[in-house]
Amino acid sequence: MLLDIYYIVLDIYGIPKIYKIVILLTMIHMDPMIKIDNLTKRYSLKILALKGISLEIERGDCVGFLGPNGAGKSTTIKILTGLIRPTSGSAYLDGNDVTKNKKVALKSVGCLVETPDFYPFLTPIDTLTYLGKLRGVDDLDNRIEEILKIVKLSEWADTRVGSFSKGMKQRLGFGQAILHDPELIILDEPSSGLDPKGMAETRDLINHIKREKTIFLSSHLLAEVQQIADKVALIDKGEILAYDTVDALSKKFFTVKEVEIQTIVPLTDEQMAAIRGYEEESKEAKSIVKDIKRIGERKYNIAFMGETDECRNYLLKWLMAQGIPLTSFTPKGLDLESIYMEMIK
Amino acid sequence: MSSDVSGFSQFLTIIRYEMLKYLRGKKLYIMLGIIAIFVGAVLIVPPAVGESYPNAKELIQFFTQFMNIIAILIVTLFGADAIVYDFEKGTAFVLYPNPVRRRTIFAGKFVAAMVVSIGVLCLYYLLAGVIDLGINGTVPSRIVYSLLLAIAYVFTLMCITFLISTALRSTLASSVLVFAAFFLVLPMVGGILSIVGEKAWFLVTSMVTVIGDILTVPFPKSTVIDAGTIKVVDYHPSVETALLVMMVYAIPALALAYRQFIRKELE
Repeated sequence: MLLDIYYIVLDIYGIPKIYKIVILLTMIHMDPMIKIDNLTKRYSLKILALKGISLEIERGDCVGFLGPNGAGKSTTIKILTGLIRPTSGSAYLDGNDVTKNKKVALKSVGCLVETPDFYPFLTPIDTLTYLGKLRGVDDLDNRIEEILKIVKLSEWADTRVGSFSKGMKQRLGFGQAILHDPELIILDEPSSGLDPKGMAETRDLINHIKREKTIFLSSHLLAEVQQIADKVALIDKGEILAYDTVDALSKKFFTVKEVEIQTIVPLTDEQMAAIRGYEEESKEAKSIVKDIKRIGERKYNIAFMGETDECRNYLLKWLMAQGIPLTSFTPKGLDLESIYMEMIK
Repeated sequence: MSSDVSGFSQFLTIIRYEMLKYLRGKKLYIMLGIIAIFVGAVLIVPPAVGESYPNAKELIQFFTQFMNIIAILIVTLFGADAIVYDFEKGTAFVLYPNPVRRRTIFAGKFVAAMVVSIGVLCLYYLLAGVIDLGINGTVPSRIVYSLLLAIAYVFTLMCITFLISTALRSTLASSVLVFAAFFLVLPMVGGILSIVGEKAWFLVTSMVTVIGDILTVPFPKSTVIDAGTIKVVDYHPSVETALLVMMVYAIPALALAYRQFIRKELE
């Protein structure tokens, strides 16, 4: 569709095909939305928060930035938003170096950094008007009305922020981040300190906008990232450990999967020994049971090598054929939490 | 969705919302209350003790006696937390990651603090003038010079206050340090120098006398009072000396405050 519009526009101007291709290639080779190049941040002689990290985030991606507390997530985000300076390295937003020209680099960026506070004497309308004027938002009054509806604060539009709960302030923080309809939205721990309802609301807000924007979201909440992000960058001790889709990371870092089974009656020693000896080789893949452990009265974990669904299907069929009285068969170890725990070990 | 905004337009926006902060906050009203107390005292005390009101020049001079404490309260209330508040309370996380240069934010905050301070000073002098006119039927013309010197003095203290506000991490510490430095430490040093027979010509707080002295013709001169075993200096800097000393404090303090603010990180 976009390509069609592109050709129609160029046809109007009568541009020859060869030039169309050149222009198209130029457009394709646009800068990544975020480019972090060998970024280092030293707070003191003892504290090296970032150890030369590099990362590129393409337009339209929704990337989760995951790591334990103190891993370097907030430091990276603060450098990206111009709140602190790197010791060395560069950070580009839409091709503009934020360390050198913050005003241009942050023009089309919306940020929600940590748990922001607002001037208590201003109402949400005042706050958004203030920030909207600083950012040059067109048709500001209507846009504020729209934003307050999105973040469900219309009812409190004229109430001073000083009386707001943490969740309401977080929603206002989210509203100000999208006020100028930015191309890139940077969110640092957006659910931090919120109750489950607030966390769900924040997640809904992010899902509401993620289809149209590039989102870089830092969090230590695995479930949050897994539910929102398409890709994940794992950081620990100031180093990027991995950056890929959850599925790709799962394939890359896990050859041994776990399958949790539950039976009607406890397994006998013979049945357990038989399961330990399971080995299956088909055209598609090879699968082997490495071990089986009892984790409950009738619950067992099977450590299992085999990456495809077919491998697990063969194992299930084989268990049934052996007369194992199964009540459940749950493949595990494919979630982000397992990857995360494996990576930061 | 958004268009380019000039730095000047952003500067005006920051001033406007900083002013709104003062107008909707308690500090301005605390300051106005203190001024009302001073003005009330000038009006009530003479008749209460059976004295008549002084003449036009002396009445204004009496008002200027409160200038030091008024100036210190002004900078403590409007300047001490101007910068540090955002960093301590977290409002910087909303304001600073915007396409606004730090220098624009700094200038906006400083100008807003000065505008509200000048407003308070003008109101104080206006009340003094109106009262003088009501009681004596005239106002000394040099009141304008006194007001201008008061503005220069507050400007100098504000520059130093901004330096303190950019250096510290807590609004309370900044306010306490500003008040203690101008109200206790520097006057104490000046007092000690005075009783050992030295002129405190290098202390910014010693320059406050010029605000009242400008009303006197001829301009008062520094004198040494022989008090038996000690000689006490009654120091009256000239307008030129006062302005020069104020400038020597104000310009480096503001430059350092700006440099510190530009480099200040939100950790």
